[in-house]
Amino acid sequence: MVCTADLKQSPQKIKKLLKRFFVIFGIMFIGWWIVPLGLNYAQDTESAHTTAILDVEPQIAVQVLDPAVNVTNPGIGEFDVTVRFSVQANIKQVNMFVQATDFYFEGDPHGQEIEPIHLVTSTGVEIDPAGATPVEGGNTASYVGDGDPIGTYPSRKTDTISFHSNDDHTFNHSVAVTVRWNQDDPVKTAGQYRANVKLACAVEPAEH
Amino acid sequence: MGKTKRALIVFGIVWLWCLIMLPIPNYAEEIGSAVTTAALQLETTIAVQAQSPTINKTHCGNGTIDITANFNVETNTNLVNMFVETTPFYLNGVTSDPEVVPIPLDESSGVEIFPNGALLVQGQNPASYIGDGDPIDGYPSRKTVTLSFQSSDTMFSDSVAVTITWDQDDPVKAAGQYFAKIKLTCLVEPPE
Repeated sequence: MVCTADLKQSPQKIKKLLKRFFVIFGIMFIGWWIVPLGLNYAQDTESAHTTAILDVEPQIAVQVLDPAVNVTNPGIGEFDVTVRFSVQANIKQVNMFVQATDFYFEGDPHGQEIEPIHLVTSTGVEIDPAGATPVEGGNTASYVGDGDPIGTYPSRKTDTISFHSNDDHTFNHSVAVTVRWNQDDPVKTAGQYRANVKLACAVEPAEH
Repeated sequence: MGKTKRALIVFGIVWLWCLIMLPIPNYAEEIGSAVTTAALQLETTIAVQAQSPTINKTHCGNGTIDITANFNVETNTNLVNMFVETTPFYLNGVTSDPEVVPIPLDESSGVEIFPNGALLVQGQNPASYIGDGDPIDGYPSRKTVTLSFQSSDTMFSDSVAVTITWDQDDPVKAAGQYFAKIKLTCLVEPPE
């Protein structure tokens, strides 16, 4: 009753209410049409991804830095020759052994006339990488027996020493290999004698 | 006056009711038909799936590395827009302050997007890199331009081969397992 009385008393209020109603209705009506249209024009997007796993295998490269080492008049007795190699690997640990031969007169291992200058097998071979340390023990490798011929030169072979690089992840060092021979003949025939020194390096596959 | 007014209002209502309701029985006696069209608007949908969640590759030496990832793309429209996001290779998947420099993307090669059974209608293959993409599982990515492909069917249900090239230019790259991400994003537009 109060409400009816109010309405009767103020027809302006009815007009206002109707006006508001139509405005709200109009907005809702427009929104109802426009919003779905807008959504329709949006693109549908979908994506998927995959993971690529790349196994970089261990690699190693060994290069001799001194292709020929000339030694003149070592005198009587034992003498050392140091040969330098470059070893590059993409892994920290490298295993190394050496094969070396006697010195043969004029590089002829089959010559019978002149005795070769023999290796000193008792002292072993020193393997000294700059920037790497032996995983265990020292860096003198002992001879363990015959190696494969180097060229046509019969060789002797050392045991294997594992070295750990001080670098992160890689091994990139020069390696000095010192081999000892014994020239014990005071009247050794003059001339050129030749020997071969071979550094063999091995890396193990990475554990995954 | 009040009674007359009420009577007139009642009469008016009755008269209007007769006008509206009486014609109906008349028309009901005739045979008529009407046809209406039901229009069903099927919205575009799309599904993208990687055929294999991981791709393994073994690499020796240095040089470029190509890897192809295959995706399934199914949509109910025949025009699909595609772009790729991909990342460098990170050793052991470590992306923040990696100890080893990541194997970078060969951006000059772009990305080959090859849907089997659809033609390229806009853009150029390989798709060129245009900038940074969104990270993929935390891996910073690079993004290509968008290429448009049209299937010969009314639908697009094809496998899509995505070939990425990386540049492994380090001869002594640390050995180990490197991880990268490849993401194919497909877009379809609603029918006009």
